[in-house]
Amino acid sequence: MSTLLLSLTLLFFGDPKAEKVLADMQKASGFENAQLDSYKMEMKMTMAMMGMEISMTSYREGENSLTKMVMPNGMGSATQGCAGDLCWDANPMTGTRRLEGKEKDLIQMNSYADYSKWLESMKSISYAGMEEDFHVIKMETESGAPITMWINDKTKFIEKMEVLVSSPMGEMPMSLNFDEYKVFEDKYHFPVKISTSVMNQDIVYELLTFESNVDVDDSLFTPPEGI
Amino acid sequence: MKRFLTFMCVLSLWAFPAVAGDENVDSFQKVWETIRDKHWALESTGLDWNEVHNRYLPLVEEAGSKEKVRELINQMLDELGQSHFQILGGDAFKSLESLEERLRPGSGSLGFEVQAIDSHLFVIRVDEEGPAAKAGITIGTEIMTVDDVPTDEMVAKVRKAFEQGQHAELYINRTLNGYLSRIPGKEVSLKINTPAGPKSLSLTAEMRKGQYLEMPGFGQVFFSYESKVLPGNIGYVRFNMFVLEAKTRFDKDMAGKFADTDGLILDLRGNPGGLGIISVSIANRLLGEQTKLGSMSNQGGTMHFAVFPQKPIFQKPVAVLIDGGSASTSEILAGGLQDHKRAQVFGSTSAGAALPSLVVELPNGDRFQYAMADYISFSGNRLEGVGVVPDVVTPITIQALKQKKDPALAAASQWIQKLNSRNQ
Repeated sequence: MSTLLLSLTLLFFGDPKAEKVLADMQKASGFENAQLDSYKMEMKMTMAMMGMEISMTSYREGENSLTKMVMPNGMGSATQGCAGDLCWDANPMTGTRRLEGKEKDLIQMNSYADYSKWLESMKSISYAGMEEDFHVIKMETESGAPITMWINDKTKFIEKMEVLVSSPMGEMPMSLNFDEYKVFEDKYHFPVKISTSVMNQDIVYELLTFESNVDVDDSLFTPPEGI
Repeated sequence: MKRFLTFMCVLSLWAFPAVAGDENVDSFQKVWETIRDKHWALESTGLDWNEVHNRYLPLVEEAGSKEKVRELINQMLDELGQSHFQILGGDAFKSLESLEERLRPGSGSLGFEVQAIDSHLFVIRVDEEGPAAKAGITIGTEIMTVDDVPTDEMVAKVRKAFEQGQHAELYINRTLNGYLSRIPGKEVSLKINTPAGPKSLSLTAEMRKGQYLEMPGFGQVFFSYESKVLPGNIGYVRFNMFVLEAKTRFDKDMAGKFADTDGLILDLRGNPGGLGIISVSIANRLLGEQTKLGSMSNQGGTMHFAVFPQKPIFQKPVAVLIDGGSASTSEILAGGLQDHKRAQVFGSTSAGAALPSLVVELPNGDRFQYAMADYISFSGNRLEGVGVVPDVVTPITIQALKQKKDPALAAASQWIQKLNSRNQ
């Protein structure tokens, strides 16, 4: 079982201002020098226009991750996972497929509970100035997916992120708002409400539970057949 | 009763009070603002939308009547040059209320489907084991009265209600078939036309064969699925709606009863659509390469109907049957398979209603239907307002019906058999 030592000191090369803002964010969020071997998160995704609620459970252990989504009314369940560098998507409607490029970058990013950890995989990162009370940080993933983050100067928390989601399903700009920060395990600060819109359809994610250093069955991260 | 009309066509338009002029102006304003805020590419229409507002507003203010305002707003919407943008007046639908009162439709089935041809109502499909088949009703039977209501009156009233709107034939036939449903166990008297003259008979409605499913965004929907192997070892599948269960059953059939067939007929006639993603999940078993059926765009981005082949891929010929009742997801699948030359399409042109749209009530009581996205097929064509044009057109005519044949099914079967014999 590997240990995630979350430290920003090795992450950035080149933009000290961005590094400072992100280090502050990491500290404020409770992840500075945190030792996370594994975690489990439970979330609820609501698509109001569709009248649909999806329950989501995410696991991470070392470099492996898995998110299971259970859809309502017997519509089945879907999983997205990564065993190290090998990532996949499996759902009853589109089958099982290996994820590559920008799509894989974003899946890997999503699986981190500590979003400062996202930055390890960035190809570039730069400080883009202040917008009212927010520091604006621009980044690009290894495969070139552009991401912009707005970090509150006072709270040091991320409050908004824009990302261009690219996959065989198309290119969809997403704007995510992070609200209602709460403390879990007396240490970790997470937004329990993340709202976004995809193709003009509003989606709200609610973080229900977070448990650190839980026992995770390694077999969860076994890639499905055909990957 | 009213819920029935709503279900039929999302056009629950009845009895509106007289309205003051301000409500008409507010209605105009709401339509104009909705287009301004929701249209996915207003600039590509070449219109200066503010100029359009300034041109129409004085006319609306002076119009004086709801009817004139409706005409003006529809005129403004016509300038967009796109379908699925229209004002649906409530008054024409009032005449349907009395029909509903007399016919009292329900959730059960008499075991047949009808289509209006001119002012006549003909049976175009019969359930093999349903009440109609047992009573001797066949394809081509002309229904003259239903519970003493003359069918020419039904057809005329329904036509009048829908003929000015888009996708008129789709809604006309859907509504007429709705009027022939009844509460299970209820007896219905029919008068049919036979060579020996009019004949009266009575049928008892049965529970429809299928299941009720909860479907996100649609509420409870009725789902039916039929599959069989036809003579000539041709697989045949028909389902009434694109829901996950359709994909599950289709997968099971592809691995089971259709695995060794020499062809497949996918009957999408009368299928109004459903979940868009199910179109690609069906195509995943028919197309061997990663591709897309088409793309949907709005202000939120572009979403491809991406196909990820799922083995085993069915390699034999595929025929798709469509008609004016095939809409939305049905058109996306039929058009996509046609574009990829993976299927030969038979029947009559589909509804041309591929876009997702909403119907909202306006301050003056009229309804405003607007599309939320644009859809372009794999080959770059807009299906909206045009529909999927079959490779082999087999229109339902009185002559064909009199021969008690299903021309599209017969043509598709022949095509598959001919293709297979040529390949042997």
